[in-house]
Amino acid sequence: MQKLFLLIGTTLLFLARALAAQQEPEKKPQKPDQDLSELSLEDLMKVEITSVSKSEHSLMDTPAAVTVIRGDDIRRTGATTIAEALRLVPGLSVARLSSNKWLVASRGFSDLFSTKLLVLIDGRSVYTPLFSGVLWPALDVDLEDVDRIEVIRGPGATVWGANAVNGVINIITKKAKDTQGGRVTAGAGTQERAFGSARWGGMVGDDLAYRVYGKSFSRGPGKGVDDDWDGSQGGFRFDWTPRPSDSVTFQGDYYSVLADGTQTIFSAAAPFSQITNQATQYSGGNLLLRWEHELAPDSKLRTQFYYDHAEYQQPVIQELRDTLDFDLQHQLKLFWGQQLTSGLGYRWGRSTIDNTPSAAFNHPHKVSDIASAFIQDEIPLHETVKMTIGSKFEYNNYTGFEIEPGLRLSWRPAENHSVWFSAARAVRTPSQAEDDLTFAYTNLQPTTPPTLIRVAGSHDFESETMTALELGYRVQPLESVTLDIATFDNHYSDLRTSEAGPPDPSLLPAAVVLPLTFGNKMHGHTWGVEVAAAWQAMEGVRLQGGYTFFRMNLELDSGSTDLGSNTAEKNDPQNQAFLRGVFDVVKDVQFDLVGRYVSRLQGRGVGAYTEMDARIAWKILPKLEAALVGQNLLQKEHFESSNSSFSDHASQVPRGVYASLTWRF
Amino acid sequence: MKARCGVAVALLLALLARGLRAEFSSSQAAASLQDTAPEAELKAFFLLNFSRFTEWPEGAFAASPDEFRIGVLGSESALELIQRKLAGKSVGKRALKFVRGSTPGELKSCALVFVTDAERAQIPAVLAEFKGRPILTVGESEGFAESGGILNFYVEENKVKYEINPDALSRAQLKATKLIVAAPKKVKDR
Repeated sequence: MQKLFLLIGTTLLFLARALAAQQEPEKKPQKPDQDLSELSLEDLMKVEITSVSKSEHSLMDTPAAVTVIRGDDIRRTGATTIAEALRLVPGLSVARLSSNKWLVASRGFSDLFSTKLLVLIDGRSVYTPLFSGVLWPALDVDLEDVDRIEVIRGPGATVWGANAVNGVINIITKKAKDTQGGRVTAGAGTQERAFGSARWGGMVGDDLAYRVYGKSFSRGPGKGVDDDWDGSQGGFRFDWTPRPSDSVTFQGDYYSVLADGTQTIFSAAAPFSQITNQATQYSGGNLLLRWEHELAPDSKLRTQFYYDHAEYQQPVIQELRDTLDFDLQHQLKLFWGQQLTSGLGYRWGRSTIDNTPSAAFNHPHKVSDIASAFIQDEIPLHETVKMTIGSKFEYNNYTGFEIEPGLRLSWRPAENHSVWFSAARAVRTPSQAEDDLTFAYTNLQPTTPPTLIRVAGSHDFESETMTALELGYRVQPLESVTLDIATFDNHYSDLRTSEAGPPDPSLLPAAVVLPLTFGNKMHGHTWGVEVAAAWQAMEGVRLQGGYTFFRMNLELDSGSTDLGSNTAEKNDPQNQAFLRGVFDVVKDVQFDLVGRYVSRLQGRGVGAYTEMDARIAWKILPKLEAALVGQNLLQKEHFESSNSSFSDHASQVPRGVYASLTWRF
Repeated sequence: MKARCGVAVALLLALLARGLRAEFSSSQAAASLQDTAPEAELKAFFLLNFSRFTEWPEGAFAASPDEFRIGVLGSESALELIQRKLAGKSVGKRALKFVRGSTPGELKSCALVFVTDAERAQIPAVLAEFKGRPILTVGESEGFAESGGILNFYVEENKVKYEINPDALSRAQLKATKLIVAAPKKVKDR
């Protein structure tokens, strides 16, 4: 495996060199520098920026493990889904279960419902409180109009609150004034069977910018499971700046998605389990209003309100959920250069569930609310040392009051070096399921009579808690090289277990029932190292790499009767790496190669794999671009996960090729 | 089967692209400017343009009539890059000379001063120090022009643009009609 990876690396370098060599003789007569220096203002403003991006540079100061993927990089990798775009973030693991389901986790605990990772789109949480997790099949944006994805590994609870335990993913779309004019993209391929998107952006007067968009796709299936994925989504965004001190954003989306998949459905009556292939339907919409107001040059107020409606229907469970969220944030510059940020939040949620024979809630109509406040102060202790200290205070219906404090220190001894340290506490609050669900499934090893496992939620289920220590170093040894190293040491307690009770003979002779109840009788420890590096090798050639080392140890508390929740410690890859080459050596042609390696998932019986994606795009006309993308090129197909512990069957990821055309006007 | 279809589509697209390209290559030659450049480099070339399109009051160059001094408030490497990109250039008959400062006081003899984002903490000091002096101040930090700087870079759609504060320009006794006209954004004092 390592050999293969090395091979990709050398190939990349070789290609870069060869291409550059080829280009050189052509370039010499018109020296690019001279060209530029004689350009007029108007022409200079048409030149696009390359190079080590400003964001990488401005990250130097940030006392956290942050990765920013720029919209342009997402497009250039050829990723068509958010989950795939996240493969370029060290510290995250992304595994495709089926063509429409992913296991995305930050710093461990990878699962179909990775409970400890918070995901937001333009400030709107898409973490479902039903299961604690993200419904990736329903999650989409117009990737062409994404400005950036910010990924914070490690706790973000001090600002973002509960469930931002192991990471926060912020997906940020472009402002409407940055998406003016029209764009139409259409494409087709083997896995990406057909897709299209269109956007139009315009101005009303001088200070109101808008855009509308729509997209549609048809994907899959993976190998081995009929797991097609079809969907459509549309939306709009208005940005209004009536005065320099005020900006108002109003945006909304509507989506409808059909995700096929094979599931084993369990029930409390014979035949107890059956395999079905039924589509899950996801649909919903949201509206968000945000007002940013400058009270004074040193004081900014942000008010945000959103409404989100989401429903999904699948064989095991059907839910309708409405969420209202109100968020207020104030930034104030104080004496000694302090920056004080404080906020208030309130979220109301109503869930209506249709119980099925395999999953039933005692309270299928549930209203819940969360009230929260946070305060954080950034204090310059010295010219080169900054301290950030703060805490979130939160009230929820399940566990009551939670406090999530954090301390961060950054030291920047020189312009191109910085060292940071962080200590924080974070909690993962109970989901509705852990509180209230009764779920039945048969034992995976058939016995006579069948053993029916019945999992029940418990009102005694507590929050899972973590204390995290992090240490990081960033350096820019040359103008063209950046290196970012983050290490962490996390300690968890009150992790979820399934505590076994005495067997229940009531269904005999048809089956024995083994009752399990959610408990908090496990503790654990994770540690790891994440390295990200970027090198502008020469004009038009950028190399980027990442490496993740991860270890986890889980132990049941004494007195636990759990039957093996601690085996989840082997569900995450211990080593991951990627290497990316970005080539702009031939005029009007973009070429990108990404190779990635993921070590085996011992707990899931999935082997290590190495894969490669490639994209070549050609600007045929200034406004017309054609792209050809190959995904997972090295193998005909490969597994990235095994069947989920609940009921979803895994499919293999096949090699895929697609072509697309983008026209701007 | 599907795979083959995909490849066929791709090939077709590529062919189509080639055909179209040949047809339109002549119209493209007109816009044969380099498509991409590092942000810092671009800014250096902007500085040259700014210098050439601005008129300084009489006597502004009295101390050293043959030099046009560009000051950089920022790191050694920031200065070096600008110096490298603009080496040998001149503004009118004045040759460019580059000065680095870590405080605004060291740059008072310059005609143009570029305040890098790394030094944004010093913006209030810069504006106080240069108040009323004929110095073209250029920043790259949000709010620089609103707080009294003259020109400020920002990035939009991955391109470097600039905004101008015309009131600040006239307070510095400078004239630059072309810069005002070409600026995508005009801002006022706050």
